[in-house]
Amino acid sequence: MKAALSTLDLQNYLGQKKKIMKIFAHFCSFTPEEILHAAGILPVRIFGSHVIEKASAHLQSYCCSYAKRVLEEGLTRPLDGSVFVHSCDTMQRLSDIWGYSVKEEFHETLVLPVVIGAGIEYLTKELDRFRKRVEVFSGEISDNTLKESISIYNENRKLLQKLYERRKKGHISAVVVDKVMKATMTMLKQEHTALLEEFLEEVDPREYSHPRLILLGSVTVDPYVLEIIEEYGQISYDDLCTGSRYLPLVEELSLRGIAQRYQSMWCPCRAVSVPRGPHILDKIKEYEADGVVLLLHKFCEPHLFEAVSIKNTLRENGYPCLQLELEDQPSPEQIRTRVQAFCEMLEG
Amino acid sequence: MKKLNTYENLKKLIGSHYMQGKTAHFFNQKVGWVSSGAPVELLRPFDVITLYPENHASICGAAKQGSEFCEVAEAEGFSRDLCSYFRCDRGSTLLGTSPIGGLPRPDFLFGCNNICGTILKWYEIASRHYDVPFLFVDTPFVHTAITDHAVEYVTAQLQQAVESLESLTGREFDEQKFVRTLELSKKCVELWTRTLEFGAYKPSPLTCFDAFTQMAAIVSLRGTQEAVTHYMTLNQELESRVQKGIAAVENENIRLLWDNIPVWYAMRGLSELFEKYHACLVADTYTNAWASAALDTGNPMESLARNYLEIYLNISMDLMLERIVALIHRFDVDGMVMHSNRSCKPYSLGQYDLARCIKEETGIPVVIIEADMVDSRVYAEEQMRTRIEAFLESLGE
Ligand code: SF4
Ligand code: SF4
Repeated sequence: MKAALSTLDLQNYLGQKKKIMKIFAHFCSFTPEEILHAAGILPVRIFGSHVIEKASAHLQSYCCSYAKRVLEEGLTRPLDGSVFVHSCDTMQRLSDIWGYSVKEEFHETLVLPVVIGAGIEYLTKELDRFRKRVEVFSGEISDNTLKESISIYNENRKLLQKLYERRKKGHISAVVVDKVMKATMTMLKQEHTALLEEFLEEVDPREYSHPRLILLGSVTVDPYVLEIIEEYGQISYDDLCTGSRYLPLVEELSLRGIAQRYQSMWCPCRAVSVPRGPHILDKIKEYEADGVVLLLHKFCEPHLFEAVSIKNTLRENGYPCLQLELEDQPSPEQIRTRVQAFCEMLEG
Repeated sequence: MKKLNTYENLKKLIGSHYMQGKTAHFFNQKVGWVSSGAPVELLRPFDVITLYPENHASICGAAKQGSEFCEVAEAEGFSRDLCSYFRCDRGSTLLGTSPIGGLPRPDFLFGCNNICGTILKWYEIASRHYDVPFLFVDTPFVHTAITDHAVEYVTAQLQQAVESLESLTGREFDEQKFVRTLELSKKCVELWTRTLEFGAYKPSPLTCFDAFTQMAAIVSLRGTQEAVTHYMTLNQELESRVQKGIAAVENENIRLLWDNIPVWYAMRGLSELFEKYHACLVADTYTNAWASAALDTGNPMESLARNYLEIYLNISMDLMLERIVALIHRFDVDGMVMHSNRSCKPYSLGQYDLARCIKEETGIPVVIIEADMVDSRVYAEEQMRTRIEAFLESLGE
């Protein structure tokens, strides 16, 4: 995929796929993509347009840029359908706003429980309701097909885990990892798996240099932010929705299994019995990192809430941390200045 | 605007409510912090003292101290873009003070995400800060209709909460007391609904500014006899106003509907502004959020679950629109004022589309004003005034 990666044009890919299958938009790592896959639908995670115009007529200035960008995308380039999950208050309302203004054949919201553990029964039934809603659109989804789809996803995620292991042994740039992750969230899984296998055979991790960073946040919408960071330091691990949080496998090949997988995914939108700080400390040690970069979206409440306890834990343990808040139109120059200063400080 | 005599009554009631909170620990009573949308009826049989951080934050806001407390939370690292009720509460906690001397330390927290996801994060933080248990009831959002599995899920959690409360208080759950609480709660909601219905009279004997003040009891004292008695008195006063033809706003000429949480620190200025144009805000979506309960004492847990699933901020825009249109017709309003409240995303996001739908369905004009409920630093008074004046002038024509 090395060659394929650098030449892979995801927009073009989708254009081709659109001719032969239905494509649904989704916005969250808690989307049961496996069910859509089993229905013969291509689930595509949306990262949004870069320019926000039409969306401003629907969303206030104090709404996060991720919501605005994806709505812009829906308004300008609608797909065949969309699947929302109840992640945060913003997404909950965006689902309705989207339903009012985007022309599509299918629209549904999976109402996730906030406490995945205690809500596992509820969630399994909610997944079943969702499956039935999809079946009305696509025709029956047999248990066997569902199992096959889950296996296909597991296979892909195993390879992604391998990618992360390789990255741990030597540096693979975060820009490349981000490309692989975005590709897997866009492509038909089995096709991505084939490319990823090739890629893993060819990839040749480089030596680590310093400073080594851990990147935390939700979604990386603009790859150029990663490029800027990696001009000054190396991201050796991430805790992102578009990164390591996507990796867990489904153990039991059923709807309940899909629900259980969500239990192992940390997300600030869910009830967190354990704060994230200690986990990050473990990762810092495991990856011998020098510092942490928090990549947040301005107005993103769940992450902004959690950021405080994470920063406190890091401070108490003597680890430097840089918080970058992305606005509607992030200024690359400003990001560069701050990242550069932070990395210089780490190099001391 | 004529002040209601019952205002003094309310002041006493809320004063003694907070006083009870302050003396609770002295009398060996447990203090619970409760979110406004949580099924407090479950707590009453345990004789715990319930306090509402949201109500407390609104008091700080009305006393114009909100921004000051917010700044303290911001200095601790909390973003200015987080809900100002939370920031205000956090700041007051850290400073240990407020217009009423700060909220007493909780022994437990009881919260429900049927108003927002903020409550979850807020109470998690408070629970860590005070090192006390957080009883959380997860209420799945209602997009089209309540699902059976959501009712099952919430009912099971309510039962679980009862067990937790038993071990927390060392008391057994008293079913009879519970049913009596539900009856009182139901009565209270009926009386409150009746209060708000007075706004349908022409001229209206009350404005939503009265309702914003008077709602303190339905939020904080639901399920108690005191609240029931209070609203009976209030309704008598309103009744006599109607008899005597006393209007809340003299020469009422424009009737309006308000949407969202009040701008607590600007209540007086805003009410005077509307009054100047003989405009009466006869109803609002906020205080009506507590006017919908249909509790069934025959099947208490499930009915509690259903009720708290369907509260205003836990339903889709379609369902909100239905309720708004019903208010517009019932109160026969000429226009609508939407407070686009930076703090509250579940309330405010979607207003642009709702405004468009309302205009299409009912033909009434809608004005959207941007502010914040507690944080006065974002309030652009002049701009607000001009916008409202232009709207009222166009309506008066
Ligand atoms: S989690 Fe944050 S970034 Fe994502 S949609 Fe919600 S508010 Fe926006
Ligand atoms: S104002 Fe809105 S966000 Fe804040 S606590 Fe209330 S419902 Fe939640």
